[in-house]
Amino acid sequence: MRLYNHGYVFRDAAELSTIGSGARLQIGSAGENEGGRLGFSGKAGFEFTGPGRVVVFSGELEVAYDSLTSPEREAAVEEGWYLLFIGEPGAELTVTAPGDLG
Amino acid sequence: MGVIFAGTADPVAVADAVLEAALEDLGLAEGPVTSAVLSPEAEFPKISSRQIEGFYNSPLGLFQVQLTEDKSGIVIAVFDGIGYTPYITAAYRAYGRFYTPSGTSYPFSEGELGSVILGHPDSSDAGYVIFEKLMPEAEVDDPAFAGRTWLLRNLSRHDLLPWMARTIALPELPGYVVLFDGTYYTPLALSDPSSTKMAFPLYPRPVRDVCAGRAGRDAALQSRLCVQGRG
Repeated sequence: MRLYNHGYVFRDAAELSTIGSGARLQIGSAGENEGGRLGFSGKAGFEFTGPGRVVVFSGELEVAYDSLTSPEREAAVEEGWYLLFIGEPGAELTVTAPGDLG
Repeated sequence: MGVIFAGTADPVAVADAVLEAALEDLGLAEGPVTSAVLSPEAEFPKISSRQIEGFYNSPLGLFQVQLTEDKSGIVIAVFDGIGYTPYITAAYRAYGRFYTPSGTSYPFSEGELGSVILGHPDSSDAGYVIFEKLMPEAEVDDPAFAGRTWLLRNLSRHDLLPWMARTIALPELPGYVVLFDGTYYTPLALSDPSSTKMAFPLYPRPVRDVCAGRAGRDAALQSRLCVQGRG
């Protein structure tokens, strides 16, 4: 299904994969945003290559974390929340779960 | 195009002159465009309830327009996710317009391209299209979009406000999906059962198309749509 509104194109969140400990997301050749649903609760760490951006949305679809406005590369998250990764083609994001942090 | 005034000036009068010149250049008007505005003798109801009542798209989302019980005015109600809450109540007075107590007036115009309600924030003829009537179609059903959550595919790294959306289907609007972005409920037209398109019959059209139809021409005359640089 394709949802289009004022120049924005969406993907159905029901089709998103679950992001667990150590999950890696890569931006495809078309440069489209990548995303998924977080499969754990606690503090999540984000490491990405290139000039990327990570946004986490709560279950109520409110922005819970945005790397554009936060100097931190980690955020408190809850299982079921949504993650959006924006970057150049080929850029990679690694998400670390609580057990992976030192 | 920009205009710089040295000293005091009447921007509306200048805009009128520019609009008239543009419409004449396009071959869409001869002489002063103000002659197209309805006369004060135009009495209500010149517009039938069937014409004006219905559902409308706007920059503020989905609205329902109904005549007042005594049929002397209109109630424009905004969809709030559950029902329709009165947003504007305007009484018919003259010149084919509905007026609020504060003086804002709302003329209705219809034609081949669709129907619109314009907004005039003051007593002048300067205004703009605010509401565009939706045309529910039962041919295209929308159960696939009901109750779904959506993640953007093309958000820029530099977009200030990231957002997600939910879609709902309303029984009173077959052929449309309503997208909620956290603030507004925006109706989107279904182009087929699995894809959507914008539901503004007039706004996305090039200026020449907009001005060519009767509704578009009336809208242009009353709203300055043509000189806002669309198309």
